[in-house]
Amino acid sequence: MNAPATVYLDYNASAPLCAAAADAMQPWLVGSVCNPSSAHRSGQRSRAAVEQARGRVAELFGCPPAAVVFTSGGTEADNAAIWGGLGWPPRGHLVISAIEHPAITEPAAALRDLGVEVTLVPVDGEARVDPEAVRAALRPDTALVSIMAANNEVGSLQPIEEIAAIAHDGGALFHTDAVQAAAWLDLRPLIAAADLLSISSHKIAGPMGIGALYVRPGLDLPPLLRGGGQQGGRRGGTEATASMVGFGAACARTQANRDDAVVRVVALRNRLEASLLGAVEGARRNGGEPRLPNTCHMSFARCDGNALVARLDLDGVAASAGAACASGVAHASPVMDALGVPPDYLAGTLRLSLGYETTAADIDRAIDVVPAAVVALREAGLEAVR
Amino acid sequence: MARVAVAMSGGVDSSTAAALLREEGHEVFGLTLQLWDYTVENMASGRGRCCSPADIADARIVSDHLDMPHYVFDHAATFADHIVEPFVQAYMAGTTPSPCISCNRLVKFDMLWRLARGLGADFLATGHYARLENGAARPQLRKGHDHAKDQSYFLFDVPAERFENVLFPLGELAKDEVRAAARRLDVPVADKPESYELCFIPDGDKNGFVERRLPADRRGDGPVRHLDGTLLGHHGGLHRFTVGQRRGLGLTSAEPLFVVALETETDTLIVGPAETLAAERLEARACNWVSIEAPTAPLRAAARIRHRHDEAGALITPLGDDRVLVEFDEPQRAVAPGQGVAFYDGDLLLGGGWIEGASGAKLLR
Repeated sequence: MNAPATVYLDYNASAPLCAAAADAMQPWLVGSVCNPSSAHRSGQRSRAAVEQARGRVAELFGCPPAAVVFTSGGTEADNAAIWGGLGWPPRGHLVISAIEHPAITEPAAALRDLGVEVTLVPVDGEARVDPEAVRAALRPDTALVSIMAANNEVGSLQPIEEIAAIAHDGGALFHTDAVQAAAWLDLRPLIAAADLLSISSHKIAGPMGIGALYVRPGLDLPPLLRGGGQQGGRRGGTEATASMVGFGAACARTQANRDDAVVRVVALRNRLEASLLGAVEGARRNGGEPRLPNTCHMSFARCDGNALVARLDLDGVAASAGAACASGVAHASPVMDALGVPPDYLAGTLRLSLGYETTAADIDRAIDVVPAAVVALREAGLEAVR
Repeated sequence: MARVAVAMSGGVDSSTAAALLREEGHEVFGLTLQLWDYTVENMASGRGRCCSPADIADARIVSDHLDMPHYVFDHAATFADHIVEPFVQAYMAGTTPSPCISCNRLVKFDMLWRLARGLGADFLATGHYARLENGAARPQLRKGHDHAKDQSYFLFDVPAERFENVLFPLGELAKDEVRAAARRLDVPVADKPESYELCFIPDGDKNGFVERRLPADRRGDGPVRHLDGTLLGHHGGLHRFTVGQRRGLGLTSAEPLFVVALETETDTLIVGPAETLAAERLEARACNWVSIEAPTAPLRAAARIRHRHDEAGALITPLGDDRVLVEFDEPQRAVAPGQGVAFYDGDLLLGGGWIEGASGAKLLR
């Protein structure tokens, strides 16, 4: 099909690999790339590249390079934080929010099976965690509090510094999943407040399959992956030179461009949101300020989010459905529950997420296409069988 | 050139249908409904006729090969409510369901059709072996050119107006021609074997499937009686039997005995000799007319009482309320309540209905 050039508005799912990262990786994809742990000259070159990349991540974090542990991505970083934060063997009490990513909730569920008690802190009507609710959840045996920096669905930002201080007051470690925040927030204040912080390379236009966990210097975290003693014994497995180099380049690019991008993108996002709310009857915005500057999360009454995403794709706009099920039977996510989204809006959720490359023309296109798509789907009557 | 949505099951038929439409230059995209949660039955690796994880992966590979967009929609909950639950209920009621006919009416040519239209398609195409002509006052739906593969029977319950926006690209082809076209067009699943099982029971164990869904207090087992009233034995559940069935009765008798009726009030299985299976007439309810207007006077037609049945000449008399009386020229063996009966004039599918009861010379009610 001769599809029109696609306008990409799904950066929260993945930010396409940036040229800086692709160029940096190129020399490490072909030729004599060796194990960074090897003693010979080739190994030495790989080692230097890996450590330089670690330094670039550390600069984004505002921490010493030794505090950066490379992982296979955000999910591994989150798992390493959750499993490690409960000690080995895991024991004690874990506090997380009701709107964490499955990379947090699933290991938490596994820990619960092993006897660890887990408390879910609720969020308010703006998908925000109340720091006092965290304080109330703390117990003498609370080992770890993990609260995401920015929600992946609606982009709500959490008061991380306040919550970290409360966790520390209670004698617990504090972890934050900053995977969705990394492209848009200055991570340094978060790093200063937290003991552990996760990010993922492909959310900041680096390669997939690589991420990092910040581990506060001096914190002895049991490793998730035990192996050949790489990364100071904190994460076994041969370092993936090309991926790490690309990730490092993406970190440098993020640091250099973020402030300008935030200003530009928030204006585009606000225009997009206002236009759609004005153009479509039965539309609502989900989530309030403060939130990520790039995330536009909306619900349309009497519409199916998954069908809408397919329709938009055919019309040349790549987006993502939020929390919805194609059957029209809405399985509300905890975020949608918290936001009090009315039942007839639950299935029609759409997430448009912008990136550093998003242009005004892209937004014009989305404003042109989305309202017509919603109307077409409503006219097709996709709510129910018969 | 039209914008066409193709229902993709991951099998050779729908994949080839898509490839042929692409070759004709249409703007084509694929749709796959995930209709069954295979984790429920622990069949993650199983291949069904459609929509198992492996088949969905095949549909994705074929679509990518054809360079066309492809979308998967999870409609497992709808399918469970509208197809699987009634399927189990039908067996519990002593009837023999036809889930593929219901799926065509309620899912493929309703939900999927509306989805295709909502996504901007002019037509929905499927890999059915049937021929369709539009343009006249009503769609003219004919058997597939390959009578051995003909699937028109399964389409009798689809509302006629739906066919105005439907394409059957395989209608003129025989199965081996479809395979040949698939190879010529380099379709990745060209040599994939066919499955004849229901898509939601890929292992073919219908009895086990139904039994896992029976209420705890009900097994449906009971006595086996001869038509003459003699108690002959005990059966393991009415759902295991259909009218005309001989296997699984576990009876030893001088004459071959067949299931002639299932009585749910007493969970009794009634058996009798072959000649008692012959029905001279049946009544069908909820009739749907495809290629002709609903008849107001008796008409002659060929009636097919199950898939692969050789149609029998019959007089079809409207009874009102979408019901008809079907009187066969020659008594027909094993008319099973719950199955569909389709009416033909030669190759032309006129319509059909759902068999409610049958009666014959020997089995009078």
